[in-house]
Amino acid sequence: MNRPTIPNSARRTPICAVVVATLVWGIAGSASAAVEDESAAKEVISDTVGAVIDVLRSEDATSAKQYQIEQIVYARFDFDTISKLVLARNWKKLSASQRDDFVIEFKHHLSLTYGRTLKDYKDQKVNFTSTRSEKNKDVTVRTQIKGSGAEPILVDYRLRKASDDWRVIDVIIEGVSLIQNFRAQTQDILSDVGPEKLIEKLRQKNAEREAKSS
Amino acid sequence: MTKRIVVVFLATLLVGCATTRYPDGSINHDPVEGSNRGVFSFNRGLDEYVLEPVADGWAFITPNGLVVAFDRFFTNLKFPVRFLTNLGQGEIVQSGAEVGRFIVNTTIGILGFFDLATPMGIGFYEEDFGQMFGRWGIPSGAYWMVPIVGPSSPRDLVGFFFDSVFNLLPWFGTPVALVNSRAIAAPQIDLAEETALDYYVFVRDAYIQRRNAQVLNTLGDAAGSSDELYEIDRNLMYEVEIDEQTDNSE
Repeated sequence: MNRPTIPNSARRTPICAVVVATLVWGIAGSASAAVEDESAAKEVISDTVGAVIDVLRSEDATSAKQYQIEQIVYARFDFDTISKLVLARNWKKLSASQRDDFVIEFKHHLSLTYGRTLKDYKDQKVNFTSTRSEKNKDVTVRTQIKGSGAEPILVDYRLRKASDDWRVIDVIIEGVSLIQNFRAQTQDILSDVGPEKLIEKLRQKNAEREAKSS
Repeated sequence: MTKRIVVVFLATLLVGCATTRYPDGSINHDPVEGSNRGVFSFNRGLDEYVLEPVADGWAFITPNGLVVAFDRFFTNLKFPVRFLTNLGQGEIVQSGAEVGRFIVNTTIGILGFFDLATPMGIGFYEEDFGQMFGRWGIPSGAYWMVPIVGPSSPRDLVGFFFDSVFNLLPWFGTPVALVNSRAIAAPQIDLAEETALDYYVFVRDAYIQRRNAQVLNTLGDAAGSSDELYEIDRNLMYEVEIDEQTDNSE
């Protein structure tokens, strides 16, 4: 509006330019980092889902399939983080060796469950609907699987970056977080019968299911 | 008998409305766990001996495509519920879409057996009375396992009553709808029974989480659960020894 002020603003320009450039660079930088993170996380999920479905569709024996699925899941899920999040405050109630045992059994349990879940949908197409960066820098990858009903089943994966790798820390099926659900289940068992019984229960459940699937 | 049911119902409503907390301050969602577990095993018995066998038979004689078509048919009949509850939450555009959807699918979709609205770009907005009450700020109250109905809460049970009133499906159609949806849910139910450490707690937590997500409408937009859930307790980083003092098991 006020033409004569141009020289003034011109004097301010270098500082303004630096501020603006920094801001733009900063925003663009963080935005592109988020985009990069999201696509990296998405790739982990599409690789994992694809690999597991390939195994399920193969002609191998059930036990061989189970072993292959375990290897895939073990490489892409962050079981230390998952175990800590599931047990939350109760983590402290476990001794060091109980913690190791819990992680081992829980790992086994989850890979059995994951393989079993996808088994029902191995002939269905998995759609990747969107990705989202969470406040704490986790990334959620959203997928839909056509189920047996008219509406597709919503499956979200939450991933966290650990030493340059994106690893799955939660699976959320139709709004139900696996971590939250296991937290509720283990909480009750821990306060009723204690850690040793919880680990025993997991071990027993795994053995039962292995016997059943092979 | 009826009187007794009413008394039990009212008593549970009262219990449900009072927020119960654990000694450590966290909310106890299930203050009537004992009787809930009793009803749960009754419901499971009913499922095992009646509903599941019938649903298995239905799934066996009915091609999967037809089961899905029935699912669409029953969903279409719940149109008034979605229309009213979208409206009740101020979602005018969504309730309008539901009207369009109902007209399209009831006519050229042949009574709703086919869904032609989705390919036309008309959305589907699954809302019910329980969700609407939740959106209005009415808390769910205590978790309540209801005979035959299944997992619920005082708020959702009242919602369920209104849902049934505004469902266009006549009463005699309800068993068919129930059998059809049991057939559809069979893989998930089998999986849950097979994998749960404690199936009762599994169902309770899944119900509470899912209803919360539905009320907050976070099912469809990836807002996800609370960030708190994904924070590793700071104490865990330093804690190596077992701390007896934090052991609050009774």
